[in-house]
Formats: sequence, C-alpha cells, structure tokens
Amino acid sequence: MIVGLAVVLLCQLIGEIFAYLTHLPVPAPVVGLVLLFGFFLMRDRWQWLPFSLRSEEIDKTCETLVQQMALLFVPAGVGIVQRLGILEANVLGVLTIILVTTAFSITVTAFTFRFVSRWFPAPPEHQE
Amino acid sequence: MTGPGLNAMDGLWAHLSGGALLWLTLTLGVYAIADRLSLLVQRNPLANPVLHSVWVIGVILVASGTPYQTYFDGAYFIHFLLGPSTVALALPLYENRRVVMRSLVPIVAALLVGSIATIGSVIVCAAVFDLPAMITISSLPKSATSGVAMGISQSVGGDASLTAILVVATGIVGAVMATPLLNLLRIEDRRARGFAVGLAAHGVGTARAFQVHPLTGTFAGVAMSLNGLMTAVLVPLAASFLGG
Repeated sequence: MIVGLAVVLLCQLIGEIFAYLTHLPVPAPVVGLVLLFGFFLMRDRWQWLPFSLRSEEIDKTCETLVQQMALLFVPAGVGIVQRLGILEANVLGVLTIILVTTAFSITVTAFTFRFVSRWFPAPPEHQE
Repeated sequence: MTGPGLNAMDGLWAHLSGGALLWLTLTLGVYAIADRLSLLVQRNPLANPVLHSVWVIGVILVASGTPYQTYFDGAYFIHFLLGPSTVALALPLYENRRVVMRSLVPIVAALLVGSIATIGSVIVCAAVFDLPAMITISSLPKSATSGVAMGISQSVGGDASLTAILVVATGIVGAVMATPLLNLLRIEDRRARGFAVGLAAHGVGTARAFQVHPLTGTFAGVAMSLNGLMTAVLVPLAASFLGG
C-alpha cells in the first residue's frame, strides 16, 4: 500500500513539475497517468528493479483508488450549498446545460464510436 | 436544558467542527450508507451514491449552520485523492492495452467528435439562455474529471468551485441517464457504451460503468483520461473565442 501510494503520488508530482515548467495546459494527473502507464509497460522487462516495485502492490493500490473514485467527488459536489444563489438565478439554463449537453455528449460519442468501428473493424484476436 | 450543559455541547461542537475528524467521518459514513442502499436496489442508476451523499451532507451543513469552507477543509483529504485516482487509471488502461489498441481508430474519432460536440453544445446552450459569462466559462470543462476541470477553469478565468459543482452534477446526470439512454439508442457495443459514459460523465460515469461490466468500465476510464487531456487543450481555445 505504502509503496503503491508513493509511486502514484510520485507520478503526479512529476506531472505537476512538468506542467509548471512547460506552461502546457496539461493537467498534472493526466501526465502522471501516462508516466505510470509507461512504468507498467517497462516493469516486466526491468529485472533490476527492487522487488517491491515489481510486485502486485502498486496494482492493488491503483485498483482501490479506481474502485472508490466516485466517493472522491462528494466533497466538491457538496459545494453546491455555497453557490445556490447564482444557480437559482440561472436555474433553467444551468439545468439545460447539465441535462441536454450531457445527453448530447453521450449520444454523439456512442454513435461516432459505433460508426467508425464498423468502418475500421478491430483486427482479429489471434493476431496478437 | 441547563446552561452549563448547553455550553459544554457548544464547546464540543466548536471543537469537532473545526477539525477534520468529524467531516471525514460524516463523508465516509454517509457515502457508505448510500453505497449500501444502491447495492440493495441492484445498482439502480437513480440510487447513485454520489447524488444522495451530496444532498444529505448539504442538508446537514445547512441545518447545522456550518460554512462549506469548514466542511471542505475537513474533508479535503478525500478531495485530494481525486488526482492520485486519475493517475491510477493507468492500471485498467495497462491491463486492457490490447483491446484498447485494437479499437484505436474508433477511440480517436469518438474522442475528437465527442469532446468538440460537448464543448460546442455548452456554448450553444449558454447563448440560448443568455447565461452570465462566468457561468458559461465555468461550464466549458464540465465533462472533464474534477481535478482536471477545476484547474482548467481557473486558468481561463472561471470560478473553480462552480466548475466543481457543474462537473459533479454532470457526472451524476450522466451516470443516471447513461444506461436507459444507450438502451434507447440501441448501442450494444460495450466499448462504445463505456467510452461515451466516460467521455461525458468522467469519474462518476466511469464508476457506474465498472458496476455494469469491466470492459465497459475500462473504456470509460480510457475516455475519461483522454478527454481530460482533450478538454485541457480545447477549453482555452473556446474561452479565447468567447472572450474575443
């Protein structure tokens, strides 16, 4: 758990440093995600890595974080109590944005995915 | 009620409400119950645990006269984990890299079209309802995950707290409507279903997708991480277009 969390935090920290130094509008956690993904790819080849970095520990930490992700949105969501005034004054527009654009987004994305995957079907499994 | 007893209670309340212990316990406790109830009704989308935790805690804060900032300072540790949990999405991506690589073309196409359509539709809706610029700007990154969206909002002069609320509301709405909507549209491909939910409704939608099927969840996670990146590129462009 400790090693796993340290590795995840380190990836995010490097992402933060990267975003700060390059002034790119890339969120630090997204850079961290790419780094950790690269680490997972290389891990099996790098035999010189200490055992704790090659064990399943990091995987277990990530699994827990991903599984419980919904909980992490609660504190920010409760912030609605603070913005009730501005939301109430624009209630129709805000509700439309939240409902209509989200439904639109799901629809367009799903149809694009399906349409394109029919034109570019996935190569068969056995080629892997 | 005697005076000294009340004073002691007031003192205790002041002592507890100023620290993190009470707010962390409240958040975890309410969420645990909401999650349990959602399991009892077979994960019915309307029983979304985030939705019900938010209003229950909100009512408790209003009823007890607690300022949001006091609660947020206390529950900050949970909020902080949003960043690490985004990093941790590398795991499902790694574990499913083969199936993801095989779907690379539809992924890239759906990402581009979906992300632009989402931001475009927000601009159109905001114009139709003549919303104040502050709300429009703060709504632009609403489909990206909280940690990412708040950062983007801040960098383009939006209200990060308002963005956080819109992001969570979008996530809840997306998670609740996704299953019935995608059934109605007759999208059966689990990859397409997951990708759409993850792109539109980030982590809350992804959590919902993982409840349905691991493959759906994986594509939701992939869409969420890619759309975080895409939104970070597109929103500053859209904001400068709106400002200019």
